[in-house]
Amino acid sequence: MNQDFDDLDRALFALPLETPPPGLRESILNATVYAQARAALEPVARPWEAWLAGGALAVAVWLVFVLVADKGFAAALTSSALTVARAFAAPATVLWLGAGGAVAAWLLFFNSLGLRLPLGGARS
Amino acid sequence: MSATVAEPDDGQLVAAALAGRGEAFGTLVERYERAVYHLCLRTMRDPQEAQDCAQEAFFKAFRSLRTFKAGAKFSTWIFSIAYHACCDRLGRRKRFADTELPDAADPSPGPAQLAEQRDEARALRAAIDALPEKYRTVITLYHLQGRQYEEIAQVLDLPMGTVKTHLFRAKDLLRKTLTTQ
Repeated sequence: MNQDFDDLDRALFALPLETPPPGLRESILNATVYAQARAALEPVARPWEAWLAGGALAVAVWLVFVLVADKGFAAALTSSALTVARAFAAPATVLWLGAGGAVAAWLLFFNSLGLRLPLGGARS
Repeated sequence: MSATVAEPDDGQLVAAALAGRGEAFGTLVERYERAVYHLCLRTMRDPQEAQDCAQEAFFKAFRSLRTFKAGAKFSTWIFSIAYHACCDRLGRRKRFADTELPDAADPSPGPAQLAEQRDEARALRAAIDALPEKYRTVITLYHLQGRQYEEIAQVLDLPMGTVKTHLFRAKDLLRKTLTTQ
């Protein structure tokens, strides 16, 4: 029995390892080391994000400059903002907004029950 | 006269990879790719799945390189990750498909197949593939790790006694299969 096991051991240790498919190492490296290197080379922001941030910064700088340089402009801007806020806070505006919201909610509710209210035109 | 440069050991390569040297991890892949693929192939018995498991194992190893304990054996660690990747797939396969169960032995090769298995290596491979999964993996690790039972036990997360029992039974089954050919 031991003799058999010794022979088996010899055969086992002489057994060559399976050859991996040719692309395995490349795919492993692509998913690990190369992916990390690619990520390190990628810019922090995409071009459109950079343009957007740059634009927003420019507008902010311009606004600060105008506000500091022209006291009258700051007063006019504040007055306009207050007018808009007052318009939205008026009871009639709030009432109309509430009515619109209620109708939208009512239509969505009945549509979700499968009653097919005319939300999206005629359906076949 | 040429000076020989000592190859860095696995621990040094792990440290270098953690320090951001990607080529160090590449060397580890080069060292263990074949053994890991061999383990996956013997466990999964499907080249495509073995390839996926080997890739998954290295990917997980790369992502959790920081958890590798200094002084531990990289081979034991990567084999353990690969074995668990195989177990996950075998479990998934068992749950979602009516294909073979990992613990079930394959039917023995028929006489026609046996006649085709002319060389010893092919016969031995076929005999290993016919073993139940737990014996197949333990015999593959015995082959890969040498006679280091403690490391086999660590990879499989089993007590050493169980590993020895599995190994004895695996060898016994292999011996019987090979002597009947």
